[in-house]
Amino acid sequence: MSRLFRLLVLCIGLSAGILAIASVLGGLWLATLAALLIGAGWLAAERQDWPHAAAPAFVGLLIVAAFAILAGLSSFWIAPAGLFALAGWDLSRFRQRLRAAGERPTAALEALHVRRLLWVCGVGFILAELANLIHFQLRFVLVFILGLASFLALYILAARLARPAGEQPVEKTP
Amino acid sequence: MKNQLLLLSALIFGLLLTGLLTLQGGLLALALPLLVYLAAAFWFNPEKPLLNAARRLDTEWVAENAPATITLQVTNQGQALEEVALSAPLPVNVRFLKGEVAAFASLPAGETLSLTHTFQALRGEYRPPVVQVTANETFGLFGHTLSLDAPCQLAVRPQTLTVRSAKIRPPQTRGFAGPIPARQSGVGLDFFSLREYQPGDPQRQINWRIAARYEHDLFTNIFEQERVADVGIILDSRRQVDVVVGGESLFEHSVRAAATLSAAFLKDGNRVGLLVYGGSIQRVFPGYGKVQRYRILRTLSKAHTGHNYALENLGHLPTRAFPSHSQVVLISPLYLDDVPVLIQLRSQGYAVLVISPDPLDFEARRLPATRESELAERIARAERNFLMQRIRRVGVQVVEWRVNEPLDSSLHRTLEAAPTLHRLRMVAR
Repeated sequence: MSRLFRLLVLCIGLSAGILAIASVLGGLWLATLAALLIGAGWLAAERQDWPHAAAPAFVGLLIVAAFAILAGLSSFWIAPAGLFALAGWDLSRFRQRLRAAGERPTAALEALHVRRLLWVCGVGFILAELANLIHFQLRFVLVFILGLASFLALYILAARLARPAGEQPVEKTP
Repeated sequence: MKNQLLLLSALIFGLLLTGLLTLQGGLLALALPLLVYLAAAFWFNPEKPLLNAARRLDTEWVAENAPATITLQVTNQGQALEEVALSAPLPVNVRFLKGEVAAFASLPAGETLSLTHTFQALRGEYRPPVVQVTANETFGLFGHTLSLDAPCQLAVRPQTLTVRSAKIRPPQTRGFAGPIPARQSGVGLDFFSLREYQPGDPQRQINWRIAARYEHDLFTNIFEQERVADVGIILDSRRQVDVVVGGESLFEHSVRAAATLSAAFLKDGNRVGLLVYGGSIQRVFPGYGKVQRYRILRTLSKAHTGHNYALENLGHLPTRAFPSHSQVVLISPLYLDDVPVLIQLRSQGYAVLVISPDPLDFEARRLPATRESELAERIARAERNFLMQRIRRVGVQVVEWRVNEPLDSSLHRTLEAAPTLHRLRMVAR
């Protein structure tokens, strides 16, 4: 078992485990079951090298996390679960890309990736936990404007990404 | 890359929207690590890479099914790239043997990424497709995809079979000594005729057995000169005469026969030309030696069947490509409509040899043996025998070649039988 795979298993386990424990403590049996099932399914898929399982599992765990927060659980525990799910999704995609390396040494690539992921997760964790500590009231107008801005931003991004790339120009090399 | 970015953005915006609408700060906190991840990926988004790709072949000219190795080198002439995914697809219809056709690595500035792969291919000319390069940051969300042109060309020559020197007898030969009987007396090995002894004739050429029958006369043996000849090879590439069964084409056997015969004739010192007649007309003007062999094989490596309404029959055969009274070798499965053209060639004074790969045998071997197919083969065989008979009657030598048998045995069976038949006809007259 490679170091990367061990890390991936750890991330999936922590994400599903934290969610399940928090849900059990909050009495959300359905969320517990969903988190455990998604976690187990994701682990099984990674063992079988199914490349398309990571994205649905990541989305599934985030939905369970969001549901738990909406149900009144503290986001102090739930946010790290989302963070580990994100790390799991990223590592799974990285493993897929690494397959193309074949016999080439990948230690440097892995080290760079893991280092940057740790940084991002660290910063993300601190910001998420800080956000949990900050509480302020928003007016309806502000919420409406922010919501509208988010919706528009998403719409513009989706439209831009969905635009066909067209014929890829071939670059001549001397 | 696009889908993953869209998924992540949708999740972030979804969480933000839900958080704002439900006034749940926890959801916003849940979205924050995702936002940081997206921001980090965007921050490390590489600039458009400046790459230079070059392909090198270990040989540009290989035999059929022989391994060929391509080395692809991609040099980074711009900034360092964290992740580079390289895909160097092989040309279609080649068989991958070993090596790597894709790579994933980091590429520092000025460094080169090399990829080597070995493959084998059937006869033809091959140009590998463009190289696809994707350079992205380490999270794989932002990056650039490039298509790099690294042209190279591989020509796979047709397989040549083993044949002995073919005994042809064209009406006219060239001035240089060679292996082909010239129908003229002179210095040679084969007996040609007798004449009365003339002073100056070497004694060893006196035919003492004939001289013993006469009291005062002596007779001298005369030998036949042996010279090189002009040989024109015509390869029939019309699609309508080709037979393709189970992905195997009879035309490939015709190409092999053309390659084999041209190599054999050139080895004997003859002047050989080639004409590929079918979808278009490709020709190699007559010439000698190894360079001519290369030219012919190069043309044969590119030859393919085709359809052209103007060239549906052999009527437009540019016979002027070959010197008059030379040997013409037509390699074709033959059609009933081709007989008048062969008659015309004979009447123009060419010695015509037809190598006809047997399409019936080729097809019958690959079809299930049923009563109907056997009956159909018998009818077709009768038709073909009739065709061959008509061709032989006009003085064309025909080699009926069953492609699963060696060409050499079929060729020599026909060529060695021909003088005997000729002699029998002379006796009958």
